[in-house]
Amino acid sequence: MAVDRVETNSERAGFKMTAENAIDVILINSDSFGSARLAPYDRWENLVAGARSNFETFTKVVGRKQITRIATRFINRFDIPTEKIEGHSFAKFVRVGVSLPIAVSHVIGDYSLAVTGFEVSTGAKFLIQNGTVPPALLDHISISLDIDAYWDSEIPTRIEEIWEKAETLRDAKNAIFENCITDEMRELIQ
Amino acid sequence: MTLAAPQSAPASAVFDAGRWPDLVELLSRRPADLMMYTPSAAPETNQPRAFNVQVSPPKPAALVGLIQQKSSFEETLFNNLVSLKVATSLYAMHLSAEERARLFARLDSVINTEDWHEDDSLPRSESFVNFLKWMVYSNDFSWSSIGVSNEGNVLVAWSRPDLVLTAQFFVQNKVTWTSTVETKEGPAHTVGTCSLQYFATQALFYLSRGAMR
Repeated sequence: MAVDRVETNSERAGFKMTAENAIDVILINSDSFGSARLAPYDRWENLVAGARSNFETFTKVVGRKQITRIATRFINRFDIPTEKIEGHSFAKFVRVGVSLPIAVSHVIGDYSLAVTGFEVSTGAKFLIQNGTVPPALLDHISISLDIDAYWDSEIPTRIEEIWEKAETLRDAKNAIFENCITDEMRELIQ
Repeated sequence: MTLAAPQSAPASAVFDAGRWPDLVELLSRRPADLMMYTPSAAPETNQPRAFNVQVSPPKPAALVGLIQQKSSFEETLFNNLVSLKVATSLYAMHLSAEERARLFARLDSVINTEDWHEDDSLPRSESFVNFLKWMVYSNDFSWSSIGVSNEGNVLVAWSRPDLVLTAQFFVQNKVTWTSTVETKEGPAHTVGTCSLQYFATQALFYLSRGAMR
């Protein structure tokens, strides 16, 4: 079918502010406030300290709001040399993936998936997104393992308790990460 | 759930980018504006680690892009500089802290209001990323200086007493390069165009002093 006209519509989603060090980022939407850190990564304690400081500033300006969701999101990219993956399954490196009937294809090329659940050791909700992404390095393939661990119910009202609850997300995302990669991957990223 | 697959997005949305010190000013001056924005999925590039406190129920996500706010030339330069530094974060695990600091110092030196005019083509981050890719691939971090071509491509030079090697990194997988080697018989000039991968072979031939033997 021929299309005479294409219209696009965009609207402002929010603000993204990047520090002069180019690694600390603040994201502000109408219903969320986030502190992010780009690589090279720092300790969890420092990430949380920065997030707390930013959130205190936010609260001073806009006042206290009812918090309905606390989340931590770690987006991991693995760069795998082409010669290490050629002829092998992605399962050699990650323990999450997709499968196809042999009658459909003998190989799986690029893929992406999203899965939700409850992390076993903490009960935290999660969204895992995994798949191939454009290679960051020459003669490599890149796989993304995007872990979003969160609480969206029974959020405490006291600020200290909120951050204590947030702390449990560290265990959740660590458990998900460690269980989703293989020893081959561990060896690769050491 | 705050995230949705892009193909289900109803409309595109954008992030306004700004400088970090503007946080208080932004929140103080424009609280009403903040209520107008569509919630977005997440940081759209560069894979940040996010610690996210959401203050109201999530809504369906949208395609997210990034546009710069209308800004002064100085702010445009700053945003360009930051975009190159942020691109470096994609390779942070492959670069030493010293190399990262050296890159940042050189970028700070190259991109400044004294040396740039509004009509100049600013450095293209895809070109800079190709230089970073090449460095990681070749495992050679011995560059001497970094500049920018009229088209915004990244220019790199390696200077030694008996060698000058220069390269222009394009946004595609392409490098044009020149070499001048001091030999017993006088200077020898060579030029070439090749892929990033092959330039690793070419450059390392010169940088390992193979051409002077």
